[in-house]
Amino acid sequence: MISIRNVSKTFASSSGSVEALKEVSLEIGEGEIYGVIGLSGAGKSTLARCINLLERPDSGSVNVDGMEMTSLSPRELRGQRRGIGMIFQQFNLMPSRTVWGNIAYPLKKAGLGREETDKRVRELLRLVGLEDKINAYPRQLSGGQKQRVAIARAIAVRPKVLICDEATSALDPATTLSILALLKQINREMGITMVVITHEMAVVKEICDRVAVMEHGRIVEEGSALSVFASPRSEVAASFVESASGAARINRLLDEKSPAVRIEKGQVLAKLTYMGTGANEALISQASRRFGVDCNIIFGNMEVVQDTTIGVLVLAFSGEKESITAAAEFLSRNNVIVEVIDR
Amino acid sequence: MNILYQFFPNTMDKTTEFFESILQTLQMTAAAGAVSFFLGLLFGLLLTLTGKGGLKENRPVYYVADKLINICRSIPFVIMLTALLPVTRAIMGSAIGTRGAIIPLIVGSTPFFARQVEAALAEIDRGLVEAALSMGDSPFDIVFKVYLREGVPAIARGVTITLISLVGLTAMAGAVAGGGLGSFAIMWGHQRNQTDCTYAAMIAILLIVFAIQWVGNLIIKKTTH
Ligand SMILES: Nc1ncnc2c1ncn2[C@@H]1O[C@H](COP(=O)(O)OP(=O)(O)OP(=O)(O)O)[C@@H](O)[C@H]1O
Ligand SMILES: [Mg+2]
Repeated sequence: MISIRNVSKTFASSSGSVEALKEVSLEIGEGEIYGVIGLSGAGKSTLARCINLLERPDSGSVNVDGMEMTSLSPRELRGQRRGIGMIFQQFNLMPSRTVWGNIAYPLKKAGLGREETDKRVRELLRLVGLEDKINAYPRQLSGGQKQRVAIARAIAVRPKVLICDEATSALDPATTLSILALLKQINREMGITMVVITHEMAVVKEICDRVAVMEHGRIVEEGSALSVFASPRSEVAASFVESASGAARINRLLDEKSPAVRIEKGQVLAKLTYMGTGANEALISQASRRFGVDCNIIFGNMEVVQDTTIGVLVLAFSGEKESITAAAEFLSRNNVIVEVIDR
Repeated sequence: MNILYQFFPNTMDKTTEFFESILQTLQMTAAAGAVSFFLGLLFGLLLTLTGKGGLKENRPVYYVADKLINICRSIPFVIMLTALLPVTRAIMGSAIGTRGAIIPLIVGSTPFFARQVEAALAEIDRGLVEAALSMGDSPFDIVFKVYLREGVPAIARGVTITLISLVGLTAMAGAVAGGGLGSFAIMWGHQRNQTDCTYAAMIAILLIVFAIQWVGNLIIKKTTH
């Protein structure tokens, strides 16, 4: 649906020039939720703005839905932009217009009559759950409500693509989750391809299918959200994963040999890592029963990424040495990664 | 009534002339204001669109418009009045009276208002323009649907300030070309030493200014959401 090839963009300013994008390439499939994560200044917004050509790349190609964006005439470009919705961190609602007026804004261009417009606006407000705010002005809305209106406005003309530039960065965690849930729902129901720009791994974890990690204008890592989350290859990616996962804290405590992980003689301390779709917990009690070992859970952390559980458990096994070894082998056979930390 | 005769004996002697002067001041303000409003909006938009980061960024055009406005603004109005005499005579057919004052008033207040408009439009969140662009709006759409709509409160503030300064300019223009409260005050209050005429003119001007301010505030309040 979106194909970006070797896109570069340099901003010249009085204090020198900034290479915001360096030969960036990526492919986003139809109906996919594609995350772009990176620290401030990495070039994420510039990349997002290159998709609808709010920023014109210095070189490279941007293809959206089979159209080469960089070679369109201004008029064609405007037409193509109507097929690419965009929402922003600061919502960018028109303060002089009511919620109705804001959502109706793009519909006028689409040639809808007054009645059809009204019908569509109400439909959209029902979708985003703000029917009672139809006559409110943006100033009277909370951040989450404003973003819901902005989403309604962005999808009003049924675009094929929705670009979300830090759409939840100005919102509190609970509101963030509700907005992400709404975006996911829209993606499922309408099949809109989404590009989600963020600096929070939690956002990627919540809704993205695939993710690109950016640093200094380059994509340093790319892959399914699950694989990046489970085994990040780049340093930036690893630090993002760490920020969004409790497992990182467990590793730190183990490294520090915290008193919390001290074991008694005869016990074996092990870290179990598994990925799967649910029934894993039963493995532990099976191992315990079959081999006659006791398992004392010291830490546990579970993340669900793309409907897959990534679990980390730190256990203290106690029992016969051979039994513990057998239990560990049993777990390994069942796709659990067992690392003995201390014995 | 008696009190009026007591405090404004000379003014009360020539009420017709006094009211005529008020009317002339209002006429000059309205006529020059209306033309300045359109020209100022035009120039303000031109500056905004062609300026740095504008939708139609164009350095030469911006440079010329910017300098032209600065030059016009730096010429003292009294000098402008006399300098424009030939132009006024050519366009209006007369360089005296209310008609003779209007051209200089337009030239005097348009650049001021253009700057007010430029400042008002600069206040509009750049994000709104981005949102409009992302929805496929053309620069033309954005002028009418974003700038001239979201900018209304700030432009109304600019109009109010411009009209008030215009009232001041009409007094000066009237004094030179003849007509209006300025000329009334000078002719009677100053030259014939009938001081109460000066005060009457001053009070009338103050009332006009208050009225403009009041209407302006009302509009700003009604359009700010
Ligand atoms: N219009 C511009 N003019 C000059 N420099 C710019 C412009 N836009 C972006 N930059 C520079 O390009 C680099 C990338 O900016 P960009 O906004 O894409 O980063 P970002 O990853 O979105 O960061 P953030 O998380 O802070 O939004 C930055 O160094 C920024 O200063
Ligand atoms: Mg950004």
